[in-house]
Amino acid sequence: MKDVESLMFESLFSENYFSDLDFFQNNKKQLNYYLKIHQVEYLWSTLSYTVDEEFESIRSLSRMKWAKQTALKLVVEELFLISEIDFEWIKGIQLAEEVYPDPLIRPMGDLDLLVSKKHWFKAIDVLVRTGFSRSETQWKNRLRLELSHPHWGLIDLHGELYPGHRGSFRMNYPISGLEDRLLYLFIHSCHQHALEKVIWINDFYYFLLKYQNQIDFDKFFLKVKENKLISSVYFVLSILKEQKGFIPSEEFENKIDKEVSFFKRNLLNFFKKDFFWMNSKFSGKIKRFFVRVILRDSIYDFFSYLINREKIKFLSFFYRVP
Amino acid sequence: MWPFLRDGDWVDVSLFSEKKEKTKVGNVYLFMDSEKEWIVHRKIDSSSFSGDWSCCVEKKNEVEVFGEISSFYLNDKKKKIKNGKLDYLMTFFSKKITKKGNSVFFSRGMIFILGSIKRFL
Repeated sequence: MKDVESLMFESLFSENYFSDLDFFQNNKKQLNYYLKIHQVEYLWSTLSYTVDEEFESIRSLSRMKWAKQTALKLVVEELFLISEIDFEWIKGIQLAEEVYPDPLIRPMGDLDLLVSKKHWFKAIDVLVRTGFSRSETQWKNRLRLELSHPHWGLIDLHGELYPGHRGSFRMNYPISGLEDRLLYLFIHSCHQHALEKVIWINDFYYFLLKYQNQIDFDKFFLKVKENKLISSVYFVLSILKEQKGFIPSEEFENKIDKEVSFFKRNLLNFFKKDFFWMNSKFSGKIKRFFVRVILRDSIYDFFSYLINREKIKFLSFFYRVP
Repeated sequence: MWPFLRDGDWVDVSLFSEKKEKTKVGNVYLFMDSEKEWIVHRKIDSSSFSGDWSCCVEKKNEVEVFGEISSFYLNDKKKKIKNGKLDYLMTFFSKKITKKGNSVFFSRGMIFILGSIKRFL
């Protein structure tokens, strides 16, 4: 394994870095395996993990991926500046640069962009002309495209931010205020993806650590109640309290355990203890099912796992489910 | 697409999120050429696209369809493109043009009449 790393290092600092892609792709499995460990391990490293040689080697690999993504970022920024397109980086790369103490800590698969609706077609036009092409996607959202380049990597283009299940919540360019940004983090990671990656808890930690004095929490919780995300917010806050001993403001100290109902609280306590164990054991549908069912607030969402969404529409006609 | 759509016209496009989204015969679509030019053509077959006036045919396998054209603007007024009886007639005649027989002159005349009716009324 050391030979692979040394070769990767050489290719990183040589001029022909981007031409050595065959080598990169051949060792993709090993690289992904290391990065996966890196995602889980870092959370523990803040508590008890001592920095040693093994950790340093993982770090070097993530540095390589980071170099590739920053190159892509620079290319896209230049392209959009020349063609006068309004855009904003969101999610991973924005947090890594702005909030994290070291951007290498935050690994990511692709770069997310929020483009203004006016320039939606123009952005696609510019990227396609430079060699990006559409990849097959699972989602059927008209204002979202995944574009890939054989050398530069992946880009996720968003014209509008909203999760598929919750139609009322929408965000357009530009995102105004820290409250909205935090709300979108919760909706994306807890509601949409059920905290599939442990690294997302670090997102909340560093975001709240930096902006805890600037965020208006009353305003934020009003929005949380509107979008029915209370249990997922308190779930994350309680994990932060247990693992890091961190509470964003003193008001929540008593609330964290009280706000959620008795039934949910017991379930949450059960999952909090085994959450990290579950992440290492089940990476598939089972974990997703359990965590999602707890994090959701309404029963309507719960049934959507037992019955298809299309059938629900049919059933609601007879049973008059709202 | 002359005479229905002309140079400098503004159009609304509903972009496809997937590569393999379904396309209907008779509708107008946007796709990119091999020389990286955006082209608007009508679907005349299950496997080919063509402009109303032109004889050239673009095969479905060779191009990547980006979206469907839903409406166009005439004198700053938005006009929706519906797939009605006129479109079926226009696909019929534009298909005749691509076959390059004796009927080209007649079918071009028909398309001029039908296209201008669809554009201005």
